[in-house]
Amino acid sequence: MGGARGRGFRDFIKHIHPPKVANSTAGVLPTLCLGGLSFFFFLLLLVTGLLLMLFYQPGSPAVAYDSLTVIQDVVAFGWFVRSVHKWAGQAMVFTVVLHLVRVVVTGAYRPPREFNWVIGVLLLLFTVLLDFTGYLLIGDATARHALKVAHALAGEVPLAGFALQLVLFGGPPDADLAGVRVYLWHCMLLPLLVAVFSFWHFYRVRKDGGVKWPL
Amino acid sequence: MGFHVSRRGFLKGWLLLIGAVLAKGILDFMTSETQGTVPDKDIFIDTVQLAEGSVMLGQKKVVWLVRDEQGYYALDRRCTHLGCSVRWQEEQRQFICPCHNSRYDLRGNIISGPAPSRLVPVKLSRDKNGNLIADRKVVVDPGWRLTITG
Ligand code: HEM
Ligand code: FES
Repeated sequence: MGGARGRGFRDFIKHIHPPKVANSTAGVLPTLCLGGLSFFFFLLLLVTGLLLMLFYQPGSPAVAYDSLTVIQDVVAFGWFVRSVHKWAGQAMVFTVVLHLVRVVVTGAYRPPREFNWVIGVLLLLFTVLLDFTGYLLIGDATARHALKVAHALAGEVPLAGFALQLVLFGGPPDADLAGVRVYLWHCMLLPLLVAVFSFWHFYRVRKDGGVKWPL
Repeated sequence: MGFHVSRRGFLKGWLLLIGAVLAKGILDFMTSETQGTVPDKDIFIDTVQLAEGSVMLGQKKVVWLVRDEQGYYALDRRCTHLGCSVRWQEEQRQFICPCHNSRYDLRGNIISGPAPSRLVPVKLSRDKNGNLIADRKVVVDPGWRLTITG
């Protein structure tokens, strides 16, 4: 084995899990561990989200709403899993935003870390989209109207508007396909993007010289 | 020296316990039987023990059973506003909707809130084992009662 691929992998592991960490950054104070906290919430959302998928029925809002009633009232600990998923979702948005504020305040976005700043902003975008699509999955009146608004907003994008509507919602906002498409974004595509970009983000942290203090 | 537990053993014990509780919870969650939709029928066991003026939630958790001086009646648990499941609040003696705070009395009449109409009374019958069965597909008159004699 070995070769370029094997070396790439070893390189990756070494950066994610380095043998040495600067003493000044081993504590919690310089960063408040907000990035790590965000990722912890993401893992919690992954587990609880997978559990919800066992009983959630995407598509028609009425059917989706009914399946949530079942999760809430019939499934053992369903109310608990749903609550943890919901609150971890809110918490993740909160910690990602605070993480960004910390990076701005400590000037950590400056070279050589400017590329990781871009990855971080994309992660914030994906996180907000995850939170928003989750809220669309509920299928109550609020969610149905929010989906219509989002659909109309996407259509306002110059030139690409209609194509964007098709990719994001699969067609008109009140068709069942829109519910299935939002489900796909929420449970597959966006979590995948967050996972890939997170690991890239962590790798860059080490590659750019680790967390340094003072910055 | 008596019984000694090392720090590592102590932590391991706690981790095992937490792991076991989590595993049991997740297993119960995954093996819940739901019929895939909100069930139409609900079942009540041991209803003779229900005192007059008290309520009981069905095993499927979709219908409330109430007993008053005249007999038994069943109320669909769905709030008539947007369909959340109403809860019984014993201190206030009201059915309260957790979503937008609609309130109903013991009979299911609206006390307050965005709900447009009363809780829906549904058909109640007795099966051969003496259990009461509510069917949400069949709406009945609010004054209807099931009386059990003997
Ligand atoms: C990572 C994998 C994830 C999966 C598989 C997943 C799956 C699901 C499913 C099936 C639902 C519908 C059930 C429900 O509404 O309670 C849901 C709802 C929701 N999700 Fe996720 N989710 C994931 C990640 C996230 C993330 C990262 C966020 C936020 C940053 C998020 C925020 C929400 C919100 C706000 C709801 C609505 C909760 C409610 O009020 O009921 N989810 N998710
Ligand atoms: S759903 Fe019950 S008050 Fe709105």
